[in-house]
Amino acid sequence: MSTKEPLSHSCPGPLGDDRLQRLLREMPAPEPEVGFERRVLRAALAIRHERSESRMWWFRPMRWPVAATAFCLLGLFLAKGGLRVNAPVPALADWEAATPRTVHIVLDSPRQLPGATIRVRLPAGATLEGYRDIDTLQWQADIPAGGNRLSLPVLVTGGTPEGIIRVEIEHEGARKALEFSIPPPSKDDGGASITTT
Amino acid sequence: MNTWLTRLFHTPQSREDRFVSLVSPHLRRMYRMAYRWTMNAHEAEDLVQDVLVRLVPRVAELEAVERLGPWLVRVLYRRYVDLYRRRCASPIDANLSLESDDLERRAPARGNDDFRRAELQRALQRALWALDEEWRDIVLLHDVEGYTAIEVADILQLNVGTVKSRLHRARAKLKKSLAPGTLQISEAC
Repeated sequence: MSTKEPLSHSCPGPLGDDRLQRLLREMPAPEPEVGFERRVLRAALAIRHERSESRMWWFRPMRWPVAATAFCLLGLFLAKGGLRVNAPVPALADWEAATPRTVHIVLDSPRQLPGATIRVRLPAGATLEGYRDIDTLQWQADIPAGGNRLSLPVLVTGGTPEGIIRVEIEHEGARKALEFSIPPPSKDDGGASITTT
Repeated sequence: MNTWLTRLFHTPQSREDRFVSLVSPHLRRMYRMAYRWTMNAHEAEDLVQDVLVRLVPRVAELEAVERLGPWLVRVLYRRYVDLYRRRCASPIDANLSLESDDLERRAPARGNDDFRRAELQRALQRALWALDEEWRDIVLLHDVEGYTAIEVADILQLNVGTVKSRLHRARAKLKKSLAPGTLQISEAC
């Protein structure tokens, strides 16, 4: 028994409020990865910049010459052949046109897993039907023993996207991650499915 | 330099700079709390970032908050409930399974004492996650993160009496879960 670790800390015995609170206070939580603050702040400000329509930077007096120059350059550019843009984020219309492909994931569990956390991460260019603005979906469920099936209605724009669907399951501190490629659309019903055990 | 001249050359802090100054001291605690709720480092970071995105245009409101730390955790908690807990009843078939022997155990094992401690912490973690969500939130905020009952009441939008009574009942349940005969330690003392 370590001298640093009081006997009462690890040995069975009546647990008082003080000891319980000390245990709770010592519950570990990992430090965020290096650069966490810079990363989240930069991302938050960048996203907000993209969304913001109220900054009106062009209204500031000293920026008028810059705006005028940019306007002229834009005119020249358009006159020479128009604008071709590869949008990294699919437009709403693309999502509307996308056909859902049902991805079935079937696995066997040797025992019941009550209150398991299920998390689905989707690659760029794919989303779940009904959850179009998010790429990660998480919920909790009781997973019964035996064969189980998870059906994911995946929407894909622009053909099969690069990347994989990542499914993570957590239960009482244990975790398992599974990765699946999105199947190509089938010819008969416009959808597709895979079954993985 | 005269005051008016100072003012003339003084560049006012941008909204972004003010935002960074306000939230930076609280980011690690927000992350820790997000981790306690989500139990996942990436989810915790995503959750904090999501909250920050929503708060950037509310700098003036943040500046008016008297105690920003608990206020930010309250916003974080609401967002966590919106993003995670309300999806518990997902329309997607939630039947999924895994082989138990494939599971990656997270607890570290660095010698006997660390192992015993890790095992005790794991038992506590299990007991904590077996609590009702309402009770667990209060224990996490009050006993784990050290917020006062008043702050917890403010974060969870409860009255202080409710916080105290739930805390009392939650502790009693935790003690029962960790009582001799319930908790199994790998090595005899």
